[in-house]
Amino acid sequence: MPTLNNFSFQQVPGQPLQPSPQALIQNGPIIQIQIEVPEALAASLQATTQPIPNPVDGIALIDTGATITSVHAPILIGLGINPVGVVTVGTAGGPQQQSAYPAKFRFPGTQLPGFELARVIGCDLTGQTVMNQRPIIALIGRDVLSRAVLVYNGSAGMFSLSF
Amino acid sequence: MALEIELAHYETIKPDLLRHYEGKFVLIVGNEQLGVFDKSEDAYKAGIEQRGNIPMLIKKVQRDEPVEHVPAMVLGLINAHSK
Repeated sequence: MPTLNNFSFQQVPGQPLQPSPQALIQNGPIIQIQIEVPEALAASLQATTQPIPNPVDGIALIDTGATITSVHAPILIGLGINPVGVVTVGTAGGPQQQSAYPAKFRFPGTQLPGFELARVIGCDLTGQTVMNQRPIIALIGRDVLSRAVLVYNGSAGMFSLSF
Repeated sequence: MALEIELAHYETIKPDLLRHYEGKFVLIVGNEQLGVFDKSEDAYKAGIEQRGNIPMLIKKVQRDEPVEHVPAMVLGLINAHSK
């Protein structure tokens, strides 16, 4: 089972770069993610000689409080992915029905395998950034974690994720 | 909200679907039921192949609709988005 060991580093003047519990507090458990069109859609576009949209890179935050994974909706729409359903979500204003989309995830620079999700929530993550304003484009929920092993080692400033 | 026609059609056929296909995934475009599948991914592939890249309803046939929880949305830290 491929494993990502992700350390959060903090630069202290005059000292070597080292993992930091404080940095992990600040950043949270984040990973590089690439979002792309589902394979069925890519195959359809290819068959009709239409261009396949380029994958979108960004940061995903592992959100153990979320039952379902969310993706910044403008990215899904920009990839040309159409909704395939609605999901009832608890929000600040009470339960609401929100559009759901299929999506394919990859984790560049890691050994973690990519996979497709039949549905993710399209949400507005505008302004959510970490580490020098790098945008968070997805919140990975427990639907993904149900197929993973996640070890959060706060005292060591690191977490491990295996699929 | 997207898929209003499809959702309304689903509600009309839901009793029959529950009798025969509980736990499976139904594919609906407009007022037309295009098939019932074991996996959501298979329904999506069939929808793309039959109708192209258009909005479509892929719905698990179940009696009670689950409510998803995303605390960041409940707290208003992020916003839900509907197309």
